[in-house]
Amino acid sequence: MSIRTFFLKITMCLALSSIITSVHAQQVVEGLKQVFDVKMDDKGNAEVEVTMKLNASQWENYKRSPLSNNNSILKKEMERAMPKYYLSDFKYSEDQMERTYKIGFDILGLSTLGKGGKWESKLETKNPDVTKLSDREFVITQNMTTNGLFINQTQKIHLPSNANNAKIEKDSFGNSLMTYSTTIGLMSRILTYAGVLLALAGAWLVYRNSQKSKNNLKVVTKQSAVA
Amino acid sequence: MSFNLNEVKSKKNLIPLLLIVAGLGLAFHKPISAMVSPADLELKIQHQPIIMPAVYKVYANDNALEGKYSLFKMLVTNNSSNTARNVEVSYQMPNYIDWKQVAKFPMILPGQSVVVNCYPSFNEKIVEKTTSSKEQVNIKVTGSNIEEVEQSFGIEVKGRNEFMYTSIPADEIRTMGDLFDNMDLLTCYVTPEDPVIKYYTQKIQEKVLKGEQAVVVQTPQEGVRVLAGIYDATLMSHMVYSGTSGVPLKVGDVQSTVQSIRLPREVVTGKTGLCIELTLLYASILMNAGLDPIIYLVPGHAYPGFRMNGSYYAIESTGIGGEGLANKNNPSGKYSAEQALQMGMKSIEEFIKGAQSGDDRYRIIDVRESISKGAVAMELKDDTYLRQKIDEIAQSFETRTPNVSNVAQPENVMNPGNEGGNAPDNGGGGNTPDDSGGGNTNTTVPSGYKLYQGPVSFAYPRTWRVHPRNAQSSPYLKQLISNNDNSAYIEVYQFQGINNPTQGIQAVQQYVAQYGGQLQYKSHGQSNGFSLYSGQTFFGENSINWMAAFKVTGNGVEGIAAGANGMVGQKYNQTLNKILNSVR
Repeated sequence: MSIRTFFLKITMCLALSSIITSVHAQQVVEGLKQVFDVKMDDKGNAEVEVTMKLNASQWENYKRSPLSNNNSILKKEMERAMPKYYLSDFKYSEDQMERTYKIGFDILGLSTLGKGGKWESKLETKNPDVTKLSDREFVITQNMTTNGLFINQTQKIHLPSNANNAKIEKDSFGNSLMTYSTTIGLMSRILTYAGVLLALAGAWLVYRNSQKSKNNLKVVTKQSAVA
Repeated sequence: MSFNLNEVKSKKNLIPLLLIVAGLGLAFHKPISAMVSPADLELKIQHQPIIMPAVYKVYANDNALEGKYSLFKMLVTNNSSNTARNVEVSYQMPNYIDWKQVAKFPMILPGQSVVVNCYPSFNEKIVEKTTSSKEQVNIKVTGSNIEEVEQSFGIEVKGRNEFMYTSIPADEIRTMGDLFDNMDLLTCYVTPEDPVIKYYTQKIQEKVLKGEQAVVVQTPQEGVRVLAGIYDATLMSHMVYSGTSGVPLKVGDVQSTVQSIRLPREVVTGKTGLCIELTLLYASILMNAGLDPIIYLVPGHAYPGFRMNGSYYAIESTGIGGEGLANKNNPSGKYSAEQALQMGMKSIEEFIKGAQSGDDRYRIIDVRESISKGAVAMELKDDTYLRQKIDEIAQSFETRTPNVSNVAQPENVMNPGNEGGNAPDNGGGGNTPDDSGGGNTNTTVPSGYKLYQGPVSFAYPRTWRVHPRNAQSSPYLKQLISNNDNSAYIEVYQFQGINNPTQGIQAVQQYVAQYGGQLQYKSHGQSNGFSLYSGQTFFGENSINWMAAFKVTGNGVEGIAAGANGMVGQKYNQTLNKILNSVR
């Protein structure tokens, strides 16, 4: 699964359906800020919230579009635009006074768990502009133009609280991957190692006892012979 | 003194043996727990309603058309409290695909979901299939601590000619466009690489056109001559218009018309075709000739054309009609190439009106773009018999030179620009940029540039695109041209009723302010009768640096502004200077 592709698709869905009607000519330089807040849970699912703040003209166009009156269209369009994913739990809210609307949904299985408890999410780009804010927070920024509309996109990715060793790596095709580890499987490994230790200890005790028994038997045999 | 040696031994070894048993239990707790309580996986499967053999390459490509055409998409959720280990998903389609692993997951945690998309590689022999059959897809999920799960679904594999217009469930259909959601797949029937079609193209180039150089000279006249040549070839071979079957089909939740579409080679050798089939034939030949074919789709009809230098051209390919279709208005039942071209150009105008009204049944398919997205044609083998048929057909070819100069040049239908291949916006009111020469201008066109002629003339990079105006465009803006990523652009302005270039700049300044932006400018005197300006326009944190040249004409003030987004820095300075220097 690819986080970046996913965001680009959302951008296309939102921009084309609501904003693009107001652009061309002077609006070539008009920027649109999109903020994606992505919270990964400890099962590899993502809870996404997209916030769109529009200017007066864009808001008017948006309110005229079917999308603002029938949010199920938005859901369907997104599902069709992202056929590889499973999307669920769509939510929509808007603040008319602030000319802002928010769309929330979950993406199931965005990250997959590999060997050794390492999670992977494809970014499908060679050199993303990634800033690591903390061990579990990343910001990816990118600028793009869609039909003359300049879009400044910020993606905030929050990894689960048990994530560690998060980094950007490359796959065999040179594409970037976001990887992180979790403590999943740690207890299982501890149990396995403890089991091995116990079994070895038991085996050593059996060996030691058998050696002692041999010595005792020799003593008893000598004493018996003397008697 | 007497004692039992065995008793002593067993008592002493009891604790160590317990330790060993406990240790082994812990060390092998995973397989033991798997035996006692295996993980439980739930599968949710979504699958294609049918398989269309003609698009088998799309099914195999996970990147084609955004991966929309997977054989199935499956959500696997671990509903148990145990981690599922070494989970493998395989599938099989008897008669077509043997058991094949599609995904492998080392672990699926309790509550975790994973998504499996299956993109099957069908053998290319699938395109030899001419009739439908019902098949089954078997899916198997195995793992080291799960009970094997098997699920199946039935699927109809159609014949290679059958095309389903939509795969959207009936209760999800909202617009007319939804009924034709699979139209991007039409380019799978465009077969420029088919050796038979290549041969046919060569015959047209040799015998009908007596040579052509449309792709070399890139002039609309030469492009239109190729279009007319294809039409003449179909006319001379006595090809006729005829229908093929289109039947409504209900598969699960999906209801759609399934159309039998003959391949271009079948149209040529069978000498008969429906509008969409003729269109696909034209697209195949135009691609072979190096042009950019366009398929125009309107309600109930399709017609072919091409795009050159930002302008669109079309021909009414069904004008070949047939004697059986003769009527009072058309006693011969067919039209000449000139008439077919005129009809095609007229259709473009109607197309624009339909597209402008927001009717999503009016759409274009840019064949090369669609192919680049993965909607590629099937593999077709050479066929000696079909080549012989083409030789026979080519005997009827004779050189004709259609009078393409009489063909109305189309309005400048602009590049639609939007990703969905939707209908283009109106280019109405725009002036057709044309580098075909013959203009009354002194503008020097540098290499790699082409000429714009309108209120003013200037040269601009050949790769840049001309955009449409729309209702929201500034009233003074006559044309917008930009590079591919829209980071650099040219705007052509015409201010009526004023006689001072600075007033023009101020009008733009006011317009920008209406949209929350800010425009700052500086005057740089005059050159070649133009008043020169430079400045910056700001929208929020974004800026654009521009230069402008305006002059007073009989119509008021006319000129251009050329600029680039602040984010690209000085990258386009040289290009912008070249453009400004070429303004006349």
